[in-house]
Amino acid sequence: MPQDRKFGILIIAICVPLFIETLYFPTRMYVPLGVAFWPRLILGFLAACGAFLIFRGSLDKGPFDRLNPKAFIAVGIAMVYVVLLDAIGYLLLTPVFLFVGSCILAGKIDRKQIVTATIVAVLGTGITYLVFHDGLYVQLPEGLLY
Amino acid sequence: MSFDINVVLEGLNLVLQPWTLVMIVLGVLGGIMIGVIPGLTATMAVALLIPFTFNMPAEVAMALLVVVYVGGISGGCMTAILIRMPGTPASVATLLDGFPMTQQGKGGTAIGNAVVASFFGTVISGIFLVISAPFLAEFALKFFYAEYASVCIFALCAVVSITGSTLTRGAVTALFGLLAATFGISEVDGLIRFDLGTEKLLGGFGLMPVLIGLFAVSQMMQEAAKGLTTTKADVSKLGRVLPTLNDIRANIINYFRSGIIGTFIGILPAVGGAPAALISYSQAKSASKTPEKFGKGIVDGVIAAETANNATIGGALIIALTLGIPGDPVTAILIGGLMIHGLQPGPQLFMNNPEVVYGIYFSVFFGSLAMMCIMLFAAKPLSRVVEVPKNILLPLLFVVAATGIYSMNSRVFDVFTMCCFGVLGYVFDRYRYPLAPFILGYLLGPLVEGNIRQLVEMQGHAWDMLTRPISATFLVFAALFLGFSLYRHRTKKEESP
Repeated sequence: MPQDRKFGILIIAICVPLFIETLYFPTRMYVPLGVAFWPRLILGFLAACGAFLIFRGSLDKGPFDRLNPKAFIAVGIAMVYVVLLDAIGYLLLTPVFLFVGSCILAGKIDRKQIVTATIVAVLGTGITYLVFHDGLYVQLPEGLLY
Repeated sequence: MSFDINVVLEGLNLVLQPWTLVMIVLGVLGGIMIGVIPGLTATMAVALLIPFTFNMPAEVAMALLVVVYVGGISGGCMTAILIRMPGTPASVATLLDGFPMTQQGKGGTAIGNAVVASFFGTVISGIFLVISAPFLAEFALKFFYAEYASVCIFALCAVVSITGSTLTRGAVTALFGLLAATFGISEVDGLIRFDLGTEKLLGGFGLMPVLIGLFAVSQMMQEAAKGLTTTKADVSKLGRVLPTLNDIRANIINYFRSGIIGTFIGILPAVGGAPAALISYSQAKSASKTPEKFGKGIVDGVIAAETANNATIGGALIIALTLGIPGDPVTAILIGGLMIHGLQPGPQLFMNNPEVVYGIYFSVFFGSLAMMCIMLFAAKPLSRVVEVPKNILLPLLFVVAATGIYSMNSRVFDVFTMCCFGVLGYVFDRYRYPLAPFILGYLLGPLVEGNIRQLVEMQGHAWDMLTRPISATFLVFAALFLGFSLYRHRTKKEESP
């Protein structure tokens, strides 16, 4: 299926439930344009664009860029880091994330890589912690160290 | 909005504070380093830096962000010249003559002239900024609800028309940006909408998670996907970096022409540094007595490209500061930076906080001076930055971005939002859906909605948008932009086999 058509279907799939949601927005009396006016207008235009994309299939000729799984693996690791951050804590989890992230992105694990990744993990965590915690007075998640 | 020498001196005094000067030098250095690394852009540098400015006074924060912008745009020329890989998209025209000069053993001359050209470009556009901004700001004082709504609609239509391979794709991303801005409590009446049943969305999607996600995390994803080849820059044959007076003297007209082209292109929403550099390059070639030398390693080509791409900085700032309308993603982030510090860009900024405006002006000048000194005297070590392995750099940049976002509200949810917008940005980019309209839609959406709703509440209708001259003019221009874009795409399609 052409990629723009896929996008069009996705747009309609997003617009329909959000439009239904606008029917349940709170309202105020004697207001000419309510809180739902603007989102409905946007959703209407967006749905029209979605329908146009479904109708046209593809807006231009290829070759098209493909989504690379490596990019999603990278952001997946990052999201795991984010999800665990509160529970495990910044000081414990960040060096692990930096080490694992660096090794996975390097694509090979040899002694030099392990040494480099370890140094970066420790220094990177230390420096960012000092800058944000001690320099900018940000209370970073303490997690298991609490 | 009369000229007040005391306010100018106050702005100068703010920038001349030792702490601000240190920030300017560090900011320029950081911007250059990010700009030197292919794939990392000035937009990303400014976005990543915003969380570090939360605790700073507004004028110091803005000085820092502006000079990072200057450094980021300028740094891109080094790799374009040395390894034929533009550090930032704005340097794409620089490599046309810069790289052949490196092959001829004149890489140092190319870098030196590129740096001086960047300085002149920034200063020329800075002068335009200083002269024109107060007049534009005074003009903007005549704006009422109808004019504000119309000028925002004009900016959105212009961006949608110019960016992306088709009008529909630009429109889709702009509409998604407008939609994203409607989540959370409505600014006009304080009513909740699109909270999706979670109180975490009551405040909507934060500006910074959206900006950093779209422009930094998506960029990191692209770099991770490309594979991590380390680039080597051979700096041993760089030669003399300082440009000769003869080169500068012979290109005086080139500097001014390219500076003016860059400034005016910078004013147009979303056009950016790369087209400005390419247009200026072609103008320099047409005006040259030796056009056959262009593309084979002539310093005039490097100067035209670098002067113009840096001149877009001042041009973009003119509209951003006077009307509060971002011309491109970087100025969108700068406007976000102003808003975080409680300042509203637009004519009110000139009336209420003129010292910040003058601080920004002086930052542009001091930043470009610092950039020139740093790049002329540290060209060789700076070009080594390109060799930093990305498997080390990317996780570190993500930690900086994540920690910065967390530091805003101490909420992991914001970091998660940043990641989600990163994925969205990556998907949009891969499928050729431009990101600039998204961010403009996100920033301008509340302004359009608020002004239209308030206009209708006050007047009972929105006809003022069509009957008031300034408002109607903006709407006519918006329609012209859309019409021209449709015509351009149609003729392009007919021409293609």
